[in-house]
Amino acid sequence: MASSQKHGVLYQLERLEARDQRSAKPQDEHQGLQDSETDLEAKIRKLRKLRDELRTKVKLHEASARIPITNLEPYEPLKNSEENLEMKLEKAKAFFQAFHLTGLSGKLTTKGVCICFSTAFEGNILDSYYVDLIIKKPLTIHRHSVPVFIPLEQIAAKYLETNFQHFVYSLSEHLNAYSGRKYQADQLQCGFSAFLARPLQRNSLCTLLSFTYTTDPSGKSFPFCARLVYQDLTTTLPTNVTITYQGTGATPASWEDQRAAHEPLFYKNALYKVFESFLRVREN
Amino acid sequence: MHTGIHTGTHTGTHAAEPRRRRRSGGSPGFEEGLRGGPQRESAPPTHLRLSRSRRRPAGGGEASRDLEAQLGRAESGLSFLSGLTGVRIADYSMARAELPGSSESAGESGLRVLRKGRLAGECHSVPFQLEFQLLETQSEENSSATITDLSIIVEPTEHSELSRFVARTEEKRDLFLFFRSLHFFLEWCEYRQRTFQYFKEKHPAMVQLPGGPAADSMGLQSPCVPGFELVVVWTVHIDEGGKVVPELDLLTKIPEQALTLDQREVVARAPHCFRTLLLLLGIEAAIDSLIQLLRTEE
Repeated sequence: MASSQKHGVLYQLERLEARDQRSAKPQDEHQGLQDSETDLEAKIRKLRKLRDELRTKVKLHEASARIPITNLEPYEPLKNSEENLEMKLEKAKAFFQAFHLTGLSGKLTTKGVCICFSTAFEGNILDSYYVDLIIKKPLTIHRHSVPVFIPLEQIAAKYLETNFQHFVYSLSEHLNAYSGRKYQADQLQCGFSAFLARPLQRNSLCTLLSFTYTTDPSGKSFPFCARLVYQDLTTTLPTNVTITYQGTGATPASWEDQRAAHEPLFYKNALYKVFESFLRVREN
Repeated sequence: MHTGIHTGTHTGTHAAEPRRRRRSGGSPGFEEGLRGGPQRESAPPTHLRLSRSRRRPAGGGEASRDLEAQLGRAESGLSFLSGLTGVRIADYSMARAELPGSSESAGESGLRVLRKGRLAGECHSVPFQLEFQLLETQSEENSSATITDLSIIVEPTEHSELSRFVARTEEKRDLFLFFRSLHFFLEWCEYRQRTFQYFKEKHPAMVQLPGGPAADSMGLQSPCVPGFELVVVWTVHIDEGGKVVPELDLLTKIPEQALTLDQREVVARAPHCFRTLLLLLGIEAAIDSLIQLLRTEE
């Protein structure tokens, strides 16, 4: 600022300039504030988007972690005659993962071993369960994710000490059968609810299913009251099927014929297959 | 006249369970797998040590020792799993495949990924090869995986039952059921073979194995009364649900003259009585009692 002793035009100009600069600063600051506000808003939006993406990723990962067969990494064996150490390690790791395809897998832990049971029903991969064992005399189950209504203690008492392989396969049978029954009940409940006059009733082990169905969802035909009992815990087909009529009055002969035709279907086929056949009959 | 019976599930009665004469507890692979781990880490094989010092610089020693330790751990884990499941993997590959039609980007139904895989190996010394396709659908609420194609080749064995079972399993695309049922089936066949061989060794004159020890029938002849024969038929059957069920039955070959003397219809009731005997005593003791029956004529 050139000092001017004269209170003349120059001085006036200087004062005007100074005033202008002073008034421009808050505007700049204001502008700067606005700029940083928009910057921050943009940053917030970006972070929110990132958070949502990460949340989705975590959810997907959690959902897929329950099914280890989906975590299989791609692997192609190299056809080299000489395998160096790294290739051997890659191969061993891949083969280790591949065991998930047999339905039984596991790994050695610091104190023992953790076995992973994968379950499936007719090609649909279902939940997995694990059993963590501690190696000591006697062999004990440290932790497990087996549902409480599966007779794990009985199976362990029978086989764990004497025949470990049999213990594992027997438990695998029970878990697969339970998964299969549960899957059938879920499919009936969700996929064919139009056929159900009353909601499906089941026990937690899915060995007792009770439902009322019609072959004609528009409700014109007489309903069938079905009760399925699965006495063998290692099977996915019922051992006992009873279809009755709950209501007053006599049942028409056609109902009796249909009932006689339906009963063997439930014995031989998965639940949703039976209802799929009803659907096909209706469409024809 | 062949009417099969079910001796219950594969667990059956006490004597009917597959027994391992060699093992005290657990399976050898399981224990070996555990012991294999620490041993490997402390003593790497000598030839690797030599090659390491020749080929790698001093600084690389650490890294390769670490690799060896990892390899040792992985291999002991593998041998543990092989012992546990009875399955040994010889070959494996897995690759992502193009979904027919759409690209793999996230659509309305979520992410869809198709994988194609091959697995080959042995289950209880029966070689198998399988190829499958695995379709994964991922959405926010849930993820599901389905086997959309399955093709299994099992080395043809004398067990014709197996080929029918394999065809059914391919149709249902139930990969885990294949391994589970194959394991139980082969266990029962092994147990049957051991039992037949045991009786053959104990009573070589009386026991006939017309199809060999791995076949499904065993003939019992009385050493002093010719013409009488009891045939134990033991089939291992895999039902529609993949459940392995052993069925035992008794056939009798009696000369005509003896049949006319049979006032109390012992021969006609023999199969039924044998079934009762099985339920009471189990397989081995029931067969043993039949043999004792034929021997008492001495």
